[in-house]
Amino acid sequence: MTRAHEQEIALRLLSDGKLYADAVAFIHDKGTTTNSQIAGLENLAGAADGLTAIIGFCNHQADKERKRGHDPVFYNGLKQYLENVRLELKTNREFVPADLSKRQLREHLEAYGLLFAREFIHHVAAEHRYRSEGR
Amino acid sequence: MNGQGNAQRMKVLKEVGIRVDKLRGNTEDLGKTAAEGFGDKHKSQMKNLETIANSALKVSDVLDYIKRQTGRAKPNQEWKYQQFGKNLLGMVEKTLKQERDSICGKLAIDDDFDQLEVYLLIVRECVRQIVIHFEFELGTKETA
Repeated sequence: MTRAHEQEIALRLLSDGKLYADAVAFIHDKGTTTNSQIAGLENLAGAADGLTAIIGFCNHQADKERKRGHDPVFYNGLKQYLENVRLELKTNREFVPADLSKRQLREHLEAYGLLFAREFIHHVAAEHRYRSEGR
Repeated sequence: MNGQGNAQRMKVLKEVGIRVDKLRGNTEDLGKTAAEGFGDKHKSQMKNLETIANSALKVSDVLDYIKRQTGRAKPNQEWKYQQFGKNLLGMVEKTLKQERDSICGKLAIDDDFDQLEVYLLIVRECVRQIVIHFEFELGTKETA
């Protein structure tokens, strides 16, 4: 089995296990937002070239919410979750080898972090749709 | 299964068939509810569910699909008709997971990826059965 195949399997297992459960808990804890916001988030995640772009989007959306006088619980929570993903990924040897240069490490965290984030956001969007039924 | 050869795969398929057969009451009820909720007009919804189940690489692909479709449906129509989506979701998340654990325990399958494959096989077979009952119900309605 190649390393890429092993990583693909590890990502599938992670998505079905931790990321799915975390997404369900996330919507339960942070509540829902509007369907159009979720659609925008999914589009952004699909088009982003790295994890930082999604975290930046969360910051931008949180600022907008604050300016409207709302507490940005959803986007602050998402930003926090994705920052934790990046932190945990640093020591996940299935995806990030130990002997990387600073630049390589950053590239790995951006690329794999993006894959993790897309899976998580996909689950969040589905749970959001399900929980916001009738709205 | 993963590197365990055809004999093990045959055992798994046999177990999956037996377990899903025992869930006939549930799959029949869900098929009937779907026939009433979707009718002939929206039968493609059930075909789409079967396609998703058959092509899914993760069980969460199926769960997410059910959630999205259920969330979109109008009150007490299609996926929300008599809580079809909610009940199907519960079946995949709880009943079929228990069946997976039981099969994996019986056949000593402890690799995580092999367990995922068993789970997917159960989900596919179960959805297939629901769609069969759904189509049978629709056919019965047409001829009645």
